[in-house]
Amino acid sequence: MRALRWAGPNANLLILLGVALVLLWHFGAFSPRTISKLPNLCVFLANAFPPDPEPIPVLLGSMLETVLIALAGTTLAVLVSVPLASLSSRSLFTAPVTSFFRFLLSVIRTIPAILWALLFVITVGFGPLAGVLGTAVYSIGYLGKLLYEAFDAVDRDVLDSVRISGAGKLALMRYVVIPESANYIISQAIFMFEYNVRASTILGLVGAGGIGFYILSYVQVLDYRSLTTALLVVLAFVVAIDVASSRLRSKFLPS
Amino acid sequence: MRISLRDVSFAYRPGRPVLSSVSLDIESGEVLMVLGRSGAGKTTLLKLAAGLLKPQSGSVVYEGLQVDGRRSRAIAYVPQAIGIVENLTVLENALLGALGGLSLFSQVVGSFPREAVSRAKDACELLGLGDYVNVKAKELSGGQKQRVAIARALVQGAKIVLADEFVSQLDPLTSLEVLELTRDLRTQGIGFAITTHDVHLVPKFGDKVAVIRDGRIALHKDASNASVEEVLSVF
Repeated sequence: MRALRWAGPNANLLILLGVALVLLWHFGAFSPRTISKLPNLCVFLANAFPPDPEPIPVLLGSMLETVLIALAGTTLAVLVSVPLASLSSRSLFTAPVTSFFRFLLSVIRTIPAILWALLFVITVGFGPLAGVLGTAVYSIGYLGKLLYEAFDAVDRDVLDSVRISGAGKLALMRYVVIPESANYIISQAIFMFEYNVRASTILGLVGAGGIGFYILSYVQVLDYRSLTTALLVVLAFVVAIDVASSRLRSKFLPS
Repeated sequence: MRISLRDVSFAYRPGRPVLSSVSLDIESGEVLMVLGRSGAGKTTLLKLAAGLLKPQSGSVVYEGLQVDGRRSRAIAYVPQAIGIVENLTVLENALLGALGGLSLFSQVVGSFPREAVSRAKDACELLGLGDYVNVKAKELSGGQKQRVAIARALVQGAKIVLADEFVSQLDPLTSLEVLELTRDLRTQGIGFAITTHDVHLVPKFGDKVAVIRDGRIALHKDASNASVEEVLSVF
């Protein structure tokens, strides 16, 4: 007993390591076939460096398209998720109404963004519009949930005192719920945009526009040097947006 | 004009009544001070009077109509946390009192008639908030926030203001200022029901006093006839 107590956090770490090793073994990480392929990684790395600077102008343009897809998708999602979150908020509506809209948001969240993009590629054809719609619908599911939880937390006393002055549900939403949650809405919208920039980089894999199309093409033609360039462009944009986003969000969140 | 509570009983949990057979009138044009220990049921009483809670038995009536917490523009409710919207300006908060008189469309697009805007500005001016109309409520002091809540009640055209622990979070000087304001507004026909723990405010600011103890009205009389000792004896 004393030995176990002494082990403390080290014991937990050992258990975690053991579980990880067992799982890796289960998925064949230590099989002779896998180990024999390890040199391929070295071949890949050798072929991937140095990055090829030639496609940089094209990649910058397509990365900008990815950012615009994320921006348009997030904007659309905010516009739709605010009313849907209001209809899901128990501060404003009764249980049958909120349950229906919460279920709807849950269904939307179940389907990943790339699958939504694929559905819109089928519906509206290849191109960034499918990306925008895919990103928007997926984000509605997430933002909707985050926002209705914030709306639920609005002080009931404030709602009551305005309700008693004769305000209807829509007025309560416009003058109490949204102003009281404004900082949170902005902060979550910025976070969603940041997330969508990262998520949108792979939308091109299904033909929904952006840099993903080039990433897929470079993999298919084994042009690993251009692939490295594309990944570095993505990294630069994502890091820059992450930094800008966290600075911007800190202005809207309580310190 | 009055809110009449008749034989009102209320319990949040079955078998544990907060108020039992309470009968009380809250009149316009006078200040009723409601006292009682913490948990005595003062807030519940005000919420019942505002129609925000429904009594399990008895009735709450204003001018012959059951109070139901909606569209009862003659009644304003100021909760303990003041109940103003921190991210709106002073004028916008005051204008919330005019929402009840607008159509659904006007409520949503925020189209307030000039008369309502001018009424809101007048109310802010009257309450010493004239220089703050465009300031966000979150930037105000506690006393100023209380004034905003009163301004909204004035714009609403309320005849009775139900104010929960109205001055409990203010410093003594500010609370005296706010209470003097309520006394002045009484002359305009506006009535107040103010819950408080402070017995000493009763003779100076109350027209009537009611003490709640064990869920019942232990004392209800004119404030001028109630000494501090008498109030304390039933507290």
